[in-house]
Amino acid sequence: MHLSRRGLLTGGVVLAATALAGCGGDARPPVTAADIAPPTEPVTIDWMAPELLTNDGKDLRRSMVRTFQERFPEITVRLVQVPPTTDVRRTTLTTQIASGAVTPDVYLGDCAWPAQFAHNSLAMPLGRVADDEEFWSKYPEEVVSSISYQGQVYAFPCYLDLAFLYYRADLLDKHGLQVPATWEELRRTALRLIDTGDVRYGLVWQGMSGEPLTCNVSEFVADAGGALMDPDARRVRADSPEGRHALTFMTELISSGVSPEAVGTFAEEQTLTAFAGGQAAFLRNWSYAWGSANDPASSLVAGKVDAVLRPTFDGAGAARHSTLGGWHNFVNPHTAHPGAAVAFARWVAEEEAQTLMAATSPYLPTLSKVLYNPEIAGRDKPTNRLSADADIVLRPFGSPHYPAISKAVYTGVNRLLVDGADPGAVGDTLTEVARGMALARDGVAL
Amino acid sequence: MRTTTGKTTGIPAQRPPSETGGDPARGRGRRAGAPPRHDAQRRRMARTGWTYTAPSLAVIGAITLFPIVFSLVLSFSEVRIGYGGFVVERLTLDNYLALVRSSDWYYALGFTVFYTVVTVAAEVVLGVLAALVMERLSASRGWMMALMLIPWSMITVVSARLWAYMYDSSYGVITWLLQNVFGANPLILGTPASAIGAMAVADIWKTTPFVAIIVLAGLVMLPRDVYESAEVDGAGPWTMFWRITLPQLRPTIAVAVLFRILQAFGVFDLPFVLTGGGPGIATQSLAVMGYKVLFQDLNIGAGAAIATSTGLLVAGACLLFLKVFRAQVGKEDVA
Repeated sequence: MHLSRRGLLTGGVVLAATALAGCGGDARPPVTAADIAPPTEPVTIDWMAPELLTNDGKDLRRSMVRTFQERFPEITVRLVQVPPTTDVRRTTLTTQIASGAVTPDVYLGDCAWPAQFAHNSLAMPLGRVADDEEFWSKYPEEVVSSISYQGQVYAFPCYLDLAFLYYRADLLDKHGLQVPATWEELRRTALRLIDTGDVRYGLVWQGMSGEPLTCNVSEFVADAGGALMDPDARRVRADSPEGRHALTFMTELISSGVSPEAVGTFAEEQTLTAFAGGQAAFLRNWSYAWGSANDPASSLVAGKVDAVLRPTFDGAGAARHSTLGGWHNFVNPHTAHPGAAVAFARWVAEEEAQTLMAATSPYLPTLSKVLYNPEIAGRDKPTNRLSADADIVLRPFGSPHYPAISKAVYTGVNRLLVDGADPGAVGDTLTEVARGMALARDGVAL
Repeated sequence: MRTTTGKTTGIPAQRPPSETGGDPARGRGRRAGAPPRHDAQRRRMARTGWTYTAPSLAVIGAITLFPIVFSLVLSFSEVRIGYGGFVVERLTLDNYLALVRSSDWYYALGFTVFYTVVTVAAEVVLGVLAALVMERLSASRGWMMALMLIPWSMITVVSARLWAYMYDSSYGVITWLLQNVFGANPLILGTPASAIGAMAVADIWKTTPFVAIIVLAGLVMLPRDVYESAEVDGAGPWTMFWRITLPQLRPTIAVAVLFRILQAFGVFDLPFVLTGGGPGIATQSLAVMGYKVLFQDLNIGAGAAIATSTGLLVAGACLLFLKVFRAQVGKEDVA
């Protein structure tokens, strides 16, 4: 018996070719939500979701599962541990589901995923909005839009995230200053507070090369009256007067000393650390920061903090913009228990689960009647109270190439921020960003 | 057919191929009159050998050969994920064309090569120095080795996180030291040059012990009598290091360098955790770029092209290094 290197290589090629031929995908999913109904026999499904802490530090997932099983005693839901970061979760789910794994049956995924996951057959289509208008009309239009792709819905809403401006209420009181309503006013107020020596930084926000920077850019461009792309994510509009206004202001925040030069290295964690450590007067962050900044165990400024919706630019009107964030439940297209999986994911989006979430946790519910009812969440939580007035900014989620589009935005703008934050370089940066976004939209960017 | 026998041991010597008449398993080229019993025995032995090694070969084929070839095929394909797995639309060169047209890929390639050269060179110099010091230690050598291995044994994700805390511009101890001792106001991870330097320092800190341990193993094996002769001839420590120690350590250092080139060229976890590839794309290695294209953008074909080209480049670099190394050793042998 003789096996040469050439023979081994040929064998490998044949194996690979066989595998490629064998894994040719079909045009439609194995099952669709329309084909299925809740099970009548006992089944067990796996739910992959990160730990969601309640206001008193318990695991919200467990109380949701317990309540669900009281309504659907034939369905047992098992919790599956998740990888620590959003990117690693996407990697895990992609490799698992692309290889045909039947679990997890349901997974909590980022609001930026639906188009990409739908395009790559990683999520089960859950029907058209028009087919169940009564159900979908209960959610904010922007949320339904963000989970739809080519007319189909690909996730059941779970919770929202919105961006707020947190500020040191004690310092504003001490120096007789007003809560700024515009960015120009915030700049003046921040510089005054830095001059008093009470804080080291004026405003901290997320300028690191990553998705949170795309959120910040989207919000500033919206404040200036523009958008990075059209709502259908086809036409790139980043290189515009509004884009220039936004990026120029962002660079000026650094060059004027309102924001530290290091803001180009700040992710959410660093901004929250700076604010909770008493170093910054203002913080742009998501709704979870309210609880963290007011937790005496981890914050030096607990009880001295308040929140408002983000300011806007002088003369830009009354709109108060916030990027839409949040996490939603997707159903694995290969699940062996589609009826149970859909029943659970849908139940989490409905009133009983959403009320439980609003009443016991810091997460913002997606169901409008719960989200806009501050009595449920409690009036002492400004993030819930303010969310009804937020003007939601949608990132170009509608494109299946959204991650590459976002990468073009955050790498270009981050380079501008760390490379001297020169307002004179804004034009070139926008041209480069717009070119990168167009290549990404067409699926040819690397 | 002759059978030669070892003169002193009586063990049958291995025959050169010209004497075997080619591969007996093929049954061609065997001279008439050769004892058939011997061929049958060889075939039986070959079958037994293949039977015993088949499980290992199957595992190697499944976990090494198959993924390499699979990745190669994907890199030449327009491929998407379908409900039944990967769907190959057509074979294409577009993925490689996209690479050579991408300025980000050229930057990642340049950065990876630069990073590999700088860190491996620094680690070899420091590793040799550390090994020379440790070789002279007696009772405490074991303790020193154990201490030195702590950085190497630490999981890179953990050590990268620790370095990120130390470099942090708000509360990092290194930032604090630079501010309060040297009066500088550094943004260690905030500018391209300092971020690359910070990443190299973290890598050198972690990996120098690995090089030192390998070099130390080579050092303790060096024959003492050569040094004694050199000492008798009046050679000083510096001469002995350059003329005896270093030349004899070259095979050991070559092994260490080869391992390090392989690791440094594929660096992923350190930039992934420490800088995320930033600022901008300043610390984006080929592996990080491949990960982003493959798993963030789900661009399977292009991601496979990055992985395949990186593999070929690192294999080429190692082969080149070995060739240069052998040529150098050959020259010295002749001299």
